[in-house]
Amino acid sequence: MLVSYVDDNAIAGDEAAIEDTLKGLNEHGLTYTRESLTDYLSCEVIFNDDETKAWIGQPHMVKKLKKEFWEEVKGMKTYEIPGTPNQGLVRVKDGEQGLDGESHSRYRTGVGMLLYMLKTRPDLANAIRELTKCVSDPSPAAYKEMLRVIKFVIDTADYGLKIHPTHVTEGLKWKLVLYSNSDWAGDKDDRKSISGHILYVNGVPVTWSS
Amino acid sequence: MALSSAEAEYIAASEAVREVLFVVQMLEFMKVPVEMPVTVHVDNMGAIFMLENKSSNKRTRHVDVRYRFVTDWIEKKLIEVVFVRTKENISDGFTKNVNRETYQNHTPHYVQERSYLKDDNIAHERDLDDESENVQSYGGDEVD
Repeated sequence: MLVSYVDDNAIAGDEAAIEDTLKGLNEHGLTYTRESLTDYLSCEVIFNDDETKAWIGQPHMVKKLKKEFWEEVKGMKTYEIPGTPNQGLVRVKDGEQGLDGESHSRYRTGVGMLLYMLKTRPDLANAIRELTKCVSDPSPAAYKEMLRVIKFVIDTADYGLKIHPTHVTEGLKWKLVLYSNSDWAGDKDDRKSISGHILYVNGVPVTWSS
Repeated sequence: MALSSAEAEYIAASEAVREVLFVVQMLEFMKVPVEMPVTVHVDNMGAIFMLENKSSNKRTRHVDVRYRFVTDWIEKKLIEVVFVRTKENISDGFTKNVNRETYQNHTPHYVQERSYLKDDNIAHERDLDDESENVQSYGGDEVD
């Protein structure tokens, strides 16, 4: 299998098939460097010694967050969970004081960077969804919550996606397991409900949403 | 807008099932054999009754028919709905900011520190699966 994203490509498969593909690329005059998978789309990929487990994280993105926001969050305490429990952010209503132009722009920057972290951090999904709800008119409380999530991400820079497949025996069928959940009337603003799910393929989290 | 928690769970499950069918189609395209039916864990009995088409009464008959495709897929044995306790539903953290205890129980199933690669004692997802199958009892009045 060949995955291609603009100029970042990866090939997976058995040795003969990989050789064959590379030969084909050569014939078409394409140049490449061959190395094992350690970095893809600015995600770091590490395997254990016998390649039965892997870890995918985004140290680059955490570094960027730290560079951008460290001055603001360094005085905050160390949190154990990404979002304030049971807190629902609400959009600013008419007549209420929202954020000034500069903070609003910072809010958008912060939420935008956090959205990238979702690629390898399902645990942040709900906290970030809360933040994205009020990007157009955030309140000071929303700004504070964003800083909290950023602080949590910086403190847990070592967290990444767990890739630990249950079985890869030939001939055995792949097992899909879905967990679905909802929070009825979870949005404090309009009392819409919130849906969430996570799908495992052979014990590896593949898609999730909040 | 959902009028009851069962309806909200029902809508959430059908949205998630669409995603599953996409992944199944993609795997089949890649010639990967997939075990059918796919297990769907839902933590609300009312929603399971609705999904399995066992319930139509005053409280549920208004529900939009566009979510009914799941019932069809259950009948075709593509999907199997299984009850899971809210406490063991690892997608709990995807709908609300959970407390510390829940976060610490659920997160290790999908996020780990880099050093987990060296640790041989990390629980396998297969174990988790077996655990949840043991608590399939349909008895509880779990309210989410």
